[in-house]
Amino acid sequence: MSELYTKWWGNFAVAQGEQRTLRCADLYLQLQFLPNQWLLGYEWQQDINQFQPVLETAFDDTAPAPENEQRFVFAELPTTLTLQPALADRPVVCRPVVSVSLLPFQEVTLFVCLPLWVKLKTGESEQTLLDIPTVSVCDSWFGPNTREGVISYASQITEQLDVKPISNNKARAAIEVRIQNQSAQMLTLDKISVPAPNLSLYADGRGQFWTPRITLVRRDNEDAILSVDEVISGGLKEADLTLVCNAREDIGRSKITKAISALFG
Amino acid sequence: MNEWLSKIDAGLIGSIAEAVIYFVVGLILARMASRGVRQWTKHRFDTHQQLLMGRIAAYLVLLVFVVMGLNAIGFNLGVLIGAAGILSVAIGFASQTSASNIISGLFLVAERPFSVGDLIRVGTTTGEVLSIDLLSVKLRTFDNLFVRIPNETLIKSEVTTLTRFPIRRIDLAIGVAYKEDIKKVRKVLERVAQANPLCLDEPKPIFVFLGFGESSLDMQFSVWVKREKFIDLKNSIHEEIKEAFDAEGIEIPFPHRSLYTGSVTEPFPIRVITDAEQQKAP
Repeated sequence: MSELYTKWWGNFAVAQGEQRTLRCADLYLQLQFLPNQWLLGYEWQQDINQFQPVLETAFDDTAPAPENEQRFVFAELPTTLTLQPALADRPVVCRPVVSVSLLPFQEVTLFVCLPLWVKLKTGESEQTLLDIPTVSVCDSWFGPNTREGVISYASQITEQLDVKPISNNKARAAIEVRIQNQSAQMLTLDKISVPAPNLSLYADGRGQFWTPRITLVRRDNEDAILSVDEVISGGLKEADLTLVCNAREDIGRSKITKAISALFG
Repeated sequence: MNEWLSKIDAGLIGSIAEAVIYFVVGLILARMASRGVRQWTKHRFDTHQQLLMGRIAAYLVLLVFVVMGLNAIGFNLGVLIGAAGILSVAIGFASQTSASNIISGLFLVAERPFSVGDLIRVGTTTGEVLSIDLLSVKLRTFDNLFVRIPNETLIKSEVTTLTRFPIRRIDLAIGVAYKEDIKKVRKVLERVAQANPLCLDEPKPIFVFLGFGESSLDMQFSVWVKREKFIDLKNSIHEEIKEAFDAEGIEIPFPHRSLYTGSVTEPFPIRVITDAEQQKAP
């Protein structure tokens, strides 16, 4: 008989012979704890979008093996498994369904939904065994031309620059993006690049994930400032949240100035 | 002979031995200097710069020890430098190709059209740059062959650096039958590109209708990819396009040739062979 866990991240005690599965968004992750080795299998099933991630203690042995498989061999089998949600390792490009124009000296707050990554570690070591996205991500390029720019991920969800907070999707992280147009020119947002590697990830009591708020300021010259604010998106209090994962890259000073083309499309 | 040998006194032998020791020590120290500099520059500079700095350090150390060795034998360096002018003219004439390669090498280093580790195409050779040396550039081709290209050739010919920019475009030449709807074909191609995770979402794929070909409607579909995934996408997208065309019933034609005999000529004579006639035939 299988057992369901809706709290799918954290440390879990595992024993030899045990089997577990994780379903989160499109990701199906299969874990088998064999003598002296962990056998991990995973695939992205785009027809099943699991908004409420579930960790199960057993799986159907007769089901076909997932597309990707990896084996980790240990001298002594670890007794703890750590599953850690994280954010993308590259910036994520988000695009509104219809382009948004921001008038001069105006400010707008938008809520964007970012796909989660899952890091798998043994409880005894900090070594990450697996670091994979929970959705099938598509590569993208964000920059003014084909020479200057950064490789990013394109978010497949279209309804992203929606002003309503994202609710009931516990397989994604919500981020509040404040955009200020401090120039005398209109700012058209065809797409924005969210610096996911610079953001920490928090979880609230309901299992919804949040990141700090970011502010993008467009100035009169062709410069823009990106800052990761010290407040959490949605006005939530940090004390009420649990820090799930630190930012992958330290942003250094809290503000970075970039060419406008590096932040807005 | 004995008279000649008597001229070689113990002092000269000592000097030569000293010079040889200087040279050997110089070689060892040059190698150590090169290694040390490359170690120091490992996390500060790229592979090309590391190689270059290592070489410069090694040559400088060696030069100092060669000069010390020559001094030990008793060479007057002033005369040597004076003679170097005349010598360089003579060497220049004698080794035009080598000199040209050395100078081309200097230009290559200064211009930096590529660095060690880059993927370049020179003529029909494509490979990874292993080293940029005084006389030549060494490449490793995809089929694991070692190719030496003289610097002079590189200066004179067109060199394409395939790894200069982070993204690349793949141009797919596609032909469909004349009966097909171009708009439908375009939509199918865009759907294939959208479904392939290696195909970049931005810059957008480009669709160009090239014209009415001999046997097909010719079009070009260009997709962008991370340069490391170039081959992966090139393989997968062709396969996916074929599958999508098959699923949508879009025909990929082979060359057709219609024979027309003209309105005034007689039609082609056709003789029907029955099974019985075929069996009778020897």
